[in-house]
Amino acid sequence: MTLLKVENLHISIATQNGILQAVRGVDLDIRKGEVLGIVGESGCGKSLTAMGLLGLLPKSARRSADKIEFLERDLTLVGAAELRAIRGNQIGMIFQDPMTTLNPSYTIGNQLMEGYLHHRHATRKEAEERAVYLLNRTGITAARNRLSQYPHQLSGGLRQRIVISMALMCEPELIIADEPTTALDVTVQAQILSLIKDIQEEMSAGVIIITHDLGVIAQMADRVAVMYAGNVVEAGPTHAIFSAPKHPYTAGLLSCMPDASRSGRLGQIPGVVPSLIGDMRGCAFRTRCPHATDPCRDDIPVHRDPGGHSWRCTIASQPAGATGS
Amino acid sequence: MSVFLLKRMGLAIVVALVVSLFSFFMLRAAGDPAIAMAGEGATAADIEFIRQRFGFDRPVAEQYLSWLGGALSGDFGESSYFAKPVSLLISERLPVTLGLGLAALVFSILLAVPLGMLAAVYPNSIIDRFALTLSVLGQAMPNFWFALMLIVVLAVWYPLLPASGNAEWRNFIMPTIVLGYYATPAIMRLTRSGMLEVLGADYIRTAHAKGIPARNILFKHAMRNAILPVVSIASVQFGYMLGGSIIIESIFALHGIGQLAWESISRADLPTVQAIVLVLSLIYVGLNLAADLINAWLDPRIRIA
Repeated sequence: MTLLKVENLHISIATQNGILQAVRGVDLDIRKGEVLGIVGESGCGKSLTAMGLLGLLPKSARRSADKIEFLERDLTLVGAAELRAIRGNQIGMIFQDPMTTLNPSYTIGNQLMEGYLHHRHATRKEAEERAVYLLNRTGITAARNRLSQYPHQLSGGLRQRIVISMALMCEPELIIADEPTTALDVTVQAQILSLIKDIQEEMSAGVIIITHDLGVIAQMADRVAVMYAGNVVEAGPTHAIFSAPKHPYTAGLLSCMPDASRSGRLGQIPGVVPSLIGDMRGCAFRTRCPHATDPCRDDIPVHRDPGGHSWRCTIASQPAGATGS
Repeated sequence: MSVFLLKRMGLAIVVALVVSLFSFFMLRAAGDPAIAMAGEGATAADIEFIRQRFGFDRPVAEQYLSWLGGALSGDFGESSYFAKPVSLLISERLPVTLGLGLAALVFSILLAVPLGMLAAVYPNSIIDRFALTLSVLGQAMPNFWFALMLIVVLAVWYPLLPASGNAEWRNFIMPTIVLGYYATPAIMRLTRSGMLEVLGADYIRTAHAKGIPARNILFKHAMRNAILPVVSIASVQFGYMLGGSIIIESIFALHGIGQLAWESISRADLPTVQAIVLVLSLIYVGLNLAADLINAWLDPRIRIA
């Protein structure tokens, strides 16, 4: 069952230098019980895409989309109140930096229960039980005592567990996790990732996990969407992307991953990401691509194979690991 | 919390003691108090009489200690001009100044905080421009000029309000507006910038992601964090208003402590001046303590270190 289907999402931001077209026609879909990874460099528009789905964009940003269908409702058409009833209730969000995600002035309990009380019209007692259950579930000791503590009294790892609990309070069908482990210690990262994975399987929720870390994708995702310069350049099952990348950018990204079995220098992609201000025709990656040819300046076709693997490139079949090494 | 409280109160007592030292010795350093009090044309015998009458012949440390001892029990000695206890003079005048200061503070908060918040929620809008204009005007206009203009308009052209005296509450309307408007720019700009900063914070986005209505987010999540610096500046402004009301009290002929201070200085009424400086400083110290306590109550990071 399709949980969320996004077609042709555009997000632009007005800046002093012109209109920054940060997201340029992204298509995504995610099924129930599936983990979709969105991977890309900083500034490729992956976080904006996630925020855009829920209408959580800054005031200077404009969003347009042919369709953002969530459980048979088009989120581009619903009003502000209906969208609020979905946010935090049917779609939960986990953010990047647990040090700043929680309000310093209110207790953990207050912030955990707030959304539940609002959406479920529950009693405080019920909300408290739910909060304690989730704190226990996310591996927090002395859960009941935590409710009266303040964020600054807890470590980063604990806070991220609380942010996860907060996202789960109303049993959302979809969880969007925006770089959930980037701000954490490496040892804590692994724990948080396996926690998210466990809970996802237990609740059979859909998860969109946004990251720049292919290691996170390999551990978590069933399917991957690779973003570059505001567009999805390649998408498909995780094993297919890792074993046989079709887009030169994906291949380049993979060669940048450290691998203990390989020696020598780590791969890197030469050049820099192009400016996203104004219109762009052709492939955004062509200035850095070793296979760039004249057709790359024109509109780029999308190729699909029967396994659900799709890529946006002039080359219909790209040998794996062909760039950056 | 109790540790924090004790620390703050201990600090306040130390500051108050230092202030009392300063208010005592600075006035002594300004010249021989007996000569100043005796006035022009006084004979050597007059000066000597005053010196003994007010104890200026004793060692300075002894004078200070006996003055401090008296002050602690509310006895500031006798006014050299009125021949009445200074504490009586102050207790007559202080309520006028405190009342005016409090009214002005409430007026400026009621004007500045909502406007500052609106300006932050709708930056660069008409309301933001209006708030900016209002605060620039408040900063640029000398308050004595504004007071005179108000009197011209509201007491002379359209005789709606009394121009002077402190007989009834209507006497306080114009002084309140003038004094309160003086404090408005600082409070408003700080509310606006604090609110803008907080509204851009991650936890506000979190609250939106939880599906909380915008109004709750503004009043619950944003305001509590944005108001912290405003509490501090408001207490400082209140202190300025008490000290700075000298001009306003003179213009509107309010018999407050500011006016008493000004007159006592020109009369070289040393015990009165000394007591007023101490009392105002103590109020100032108390205000700072109150601001600290309010902030601690609002912000758990201060309360629970």
